[in-house]
Amino acid sequence: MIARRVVVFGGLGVAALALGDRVVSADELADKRLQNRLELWANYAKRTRNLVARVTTTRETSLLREPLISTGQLVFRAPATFVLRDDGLAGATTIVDGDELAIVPNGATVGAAARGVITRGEAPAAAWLADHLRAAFAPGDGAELVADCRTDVPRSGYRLDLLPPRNSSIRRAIRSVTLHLDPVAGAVTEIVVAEAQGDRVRMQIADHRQNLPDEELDAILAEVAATRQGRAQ
Amino acid sequence: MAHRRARGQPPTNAARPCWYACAADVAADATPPTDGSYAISLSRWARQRPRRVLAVWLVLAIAALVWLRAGPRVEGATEALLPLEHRAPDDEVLLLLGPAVDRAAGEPGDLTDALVAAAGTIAERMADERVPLAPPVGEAAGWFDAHAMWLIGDDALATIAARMSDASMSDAIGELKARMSSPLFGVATDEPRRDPLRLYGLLGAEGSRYAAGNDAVGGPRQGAMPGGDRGPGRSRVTAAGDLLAADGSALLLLVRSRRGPQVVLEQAQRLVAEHGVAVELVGGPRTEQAAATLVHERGLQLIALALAGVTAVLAGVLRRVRATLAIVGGLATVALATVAMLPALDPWSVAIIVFLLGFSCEGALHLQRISARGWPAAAVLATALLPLLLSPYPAWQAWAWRWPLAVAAGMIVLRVVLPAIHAVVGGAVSWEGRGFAWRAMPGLALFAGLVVLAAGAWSVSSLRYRGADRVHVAAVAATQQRLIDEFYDPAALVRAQSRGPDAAAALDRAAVEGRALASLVPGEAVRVDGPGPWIARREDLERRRAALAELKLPARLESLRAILEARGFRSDAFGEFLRGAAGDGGLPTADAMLQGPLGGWLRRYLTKDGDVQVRTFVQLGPDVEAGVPRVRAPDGSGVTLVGPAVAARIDRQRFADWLGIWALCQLWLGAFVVWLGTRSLGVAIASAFATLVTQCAVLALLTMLRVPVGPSMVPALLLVGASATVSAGRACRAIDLQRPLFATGIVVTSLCQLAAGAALAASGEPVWRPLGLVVVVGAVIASGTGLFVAPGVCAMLRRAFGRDHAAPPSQEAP
Repeated sequence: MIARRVVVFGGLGVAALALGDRVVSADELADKRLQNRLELWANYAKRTRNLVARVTTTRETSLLREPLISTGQLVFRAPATFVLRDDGLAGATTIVDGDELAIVPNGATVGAAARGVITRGEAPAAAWLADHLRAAFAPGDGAELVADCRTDVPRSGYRLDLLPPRNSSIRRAIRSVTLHLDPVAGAVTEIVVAEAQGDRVRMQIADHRQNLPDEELDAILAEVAATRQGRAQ
Repeated sequence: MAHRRARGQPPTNAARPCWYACAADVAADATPPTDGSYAISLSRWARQRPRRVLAVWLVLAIAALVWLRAGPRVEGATEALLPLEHRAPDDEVLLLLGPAVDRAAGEPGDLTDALVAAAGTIAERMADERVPLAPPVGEAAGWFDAHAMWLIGDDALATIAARMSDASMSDAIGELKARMSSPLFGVATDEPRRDPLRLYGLLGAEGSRYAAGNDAVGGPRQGAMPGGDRGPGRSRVTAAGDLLAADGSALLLLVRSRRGPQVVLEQAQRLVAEHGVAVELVGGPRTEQAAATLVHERGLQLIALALAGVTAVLAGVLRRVRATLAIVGGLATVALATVAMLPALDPWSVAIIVFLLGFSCEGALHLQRISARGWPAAAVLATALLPLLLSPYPAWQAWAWRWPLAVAAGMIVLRVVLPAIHAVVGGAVSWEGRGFAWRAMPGLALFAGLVVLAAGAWSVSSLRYRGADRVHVAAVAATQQRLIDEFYDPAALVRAQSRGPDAAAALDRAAVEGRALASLVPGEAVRVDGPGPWIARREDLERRRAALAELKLPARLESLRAILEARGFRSDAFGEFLRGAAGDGGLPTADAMLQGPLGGWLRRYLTKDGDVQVRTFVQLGPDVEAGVPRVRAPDGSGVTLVGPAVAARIDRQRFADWLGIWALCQLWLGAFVVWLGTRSLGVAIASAFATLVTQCAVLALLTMLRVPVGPSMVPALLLVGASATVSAGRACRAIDLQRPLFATGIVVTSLCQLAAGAALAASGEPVWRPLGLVVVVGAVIASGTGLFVAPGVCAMLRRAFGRDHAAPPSQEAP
């Protein structure tokens, strides 16, 4: 009997050690995958002083009979300006500039433009999302990108999932933000935002133009500034 | 300092300088003087029947001990200084749920889920008592959406009507679709299903009345979505109407019960144990409980500490074991009797009993006597707190008459029992020939007095005030601060009471007054919490019905449905808005709310006291120096606010004036007693001057030390004033009669008072420390003004007006 007990407990001990070792290995593996993704992402982002790209946004929502598809331009200028500008007057311009957030319809009048301002304190989920969208294109080692969130790196594909902290009110609005990276250059090619209420926003990014001359960028941002002011009625 | 020893002067028997009526005087007092000044003498009477006196004393002491065998009844009495009508509701118990100590660390989200589940268990098992702190999010939003067109004001309705033309609606829907292309759209403040036209944003401040979190932290939320989940402070409202801390690690829950906070707490603790959640009391009941615990654990300890301090002073000065023990024994029985006679022991009573120990020493140490019989000093002390009968503080009003009784008891014990003890066991102390010949210094007195008076006048205008609405107890300071940081400050919550013969009428009245109170936000208040804005006034309903008919809402909404379809939207997705705007939800009447899903929340505000009353809570702004807001209902009637913060604000405005009145009353009473004892106007005026100088000096020092002054300190200020009157009376009398001055007598009584004050100051408790500090500082200043200021003033008066009484009787004792 004694010998059997020794065998059983000894076996359990060895199994526990082996399992523990596997758990440690899994954590290490996840960390390693995250480091790989961030290295790939930083490979492109670290060179970015400014960036202009074409973007196609698709919103799938139960409010509309069909998904809303719009095309436009993505503009980033270091350190803190990020703009998504839809083509045409029927779209909108999303502005993340420093601490300011706004969604301004392109055809907005002065009053409507003012209504588009989002107060960070009132909408923490919008602030969180805006900060992470901007960080996805900002130069850096990735610390800002993965700040204030949990991460998941799927085994397949070159993706990086950013998940809001569990205990925050953000989690009740956003399920995840997934970045798709170019496997060679590391540029962000697609961003998918899964909202908690079921809507899904897919931004497909193409034609990346990095580090444009300042004059060209100033011209684009001047148009954004004009939209921000609103049209006179 | 000009003085000389008077050892060479042989004192008469009658003038023998004893610290108290000692056994050595028996022979001297045995034959009454011919002038009749010793016709009645308690000490002589006691010396003649010492064993009987001691027997009675011991029997009374044992009776008090037996009475207190189970310990005195203890209360927190944290609102004892507030007028009754301003005290917080006594049936509300705030419970704070947090992680249990032994809870395993896990995801913070799991803790939040556990807290919400635990709150759900309490709500289910204590269904009759638990009430939501805020309108439950879903129900509140549903109520507002269903009745928005009936609830909003006329101006807001006009604005909304202007936005419901075809062109405006088409623009609004176009704008909505444009904004939908932004990734931020779904997570910003938009709620397109509830409000596709963004009409709620047009309501401005009116819309924010229907949002719980309209507070100082985030500022008033102009255009906030009504019925949102943001709670007061940084909290958010749970689906059940409880408040959850911003980090999800604590949940605040309200129970209305007459069973008492401890019973409620114990039941809640049993209910949530399985969830790994801990419950603790917060708010007023918690402070009350902590104060009671403080009194229970440290009250008697503090009294013993004060007694030990007095013992040390007496032992150091008397250098006699029996004499010291006899006085301390007498004082202990006085304290014991006082505790036995009190209905309950609370922090204020403990402080006063500690003072009683320090100030009652006067009964044993009445050397230098102000008059031959030695009663003026006792009378001055006994009447010191009488002016508090005029005060608005119930606890001090009670002590205004309890204190003279306690002092009288002390004096009787020390002047009757003490001689009896010495007659039996001996050990009396005689201080023959130890006096000084003191010389008055008018110049110094006048200069010092005027400087201090000027400093006092300056300090009165610079006093920092601390109201009686906040009693700080160190043990719960952190918990209370968390409550304030995460949720709201219960001490800043005041209330208006709307009355009616039945609930519906009271709610109707609350609807009128609630709208008037809402005008206080954001200037004077940060939040108005009541059902008033959620109910339409009866008289408004018909008028609004006509206004809505003019708007032709059904046709407008059909047009909106068509616009939505034309723009590619599913119009059914906006059914919530379309049904609510059409007014299909019925009328927002008091009855409908009572019967509806918000009925449970409404219970928080309903009370019955003959009439039905509806409470509307107003959280006042952080500016404590602001006055009490004045609110008038549309019908012209005033809306009265009551609550601890209101009491404090009223008191702040008149505190300095009333402090002056109480001090002057005490000063006048003291001076009158001194005059009665000495029949010398000069001595009485000098004593009054010294009293005023002492109180001014104490106030100036408190101002310089940046110690806030408030109702809790008033008795201490009056007592040090009385101490100054006694010191001054003694010193002036000695100089007036050209007798040796027993400065040690004045100093040692001050030292006894200082010992009592030091015990409170050393307690480290915010509720006691300032009181002790006032007495420590005041006792030192009182003996200083008595010795250095009063004699000089008295001498000046003599020079100016001559003596105002006959030569001193030769038999007068010092």
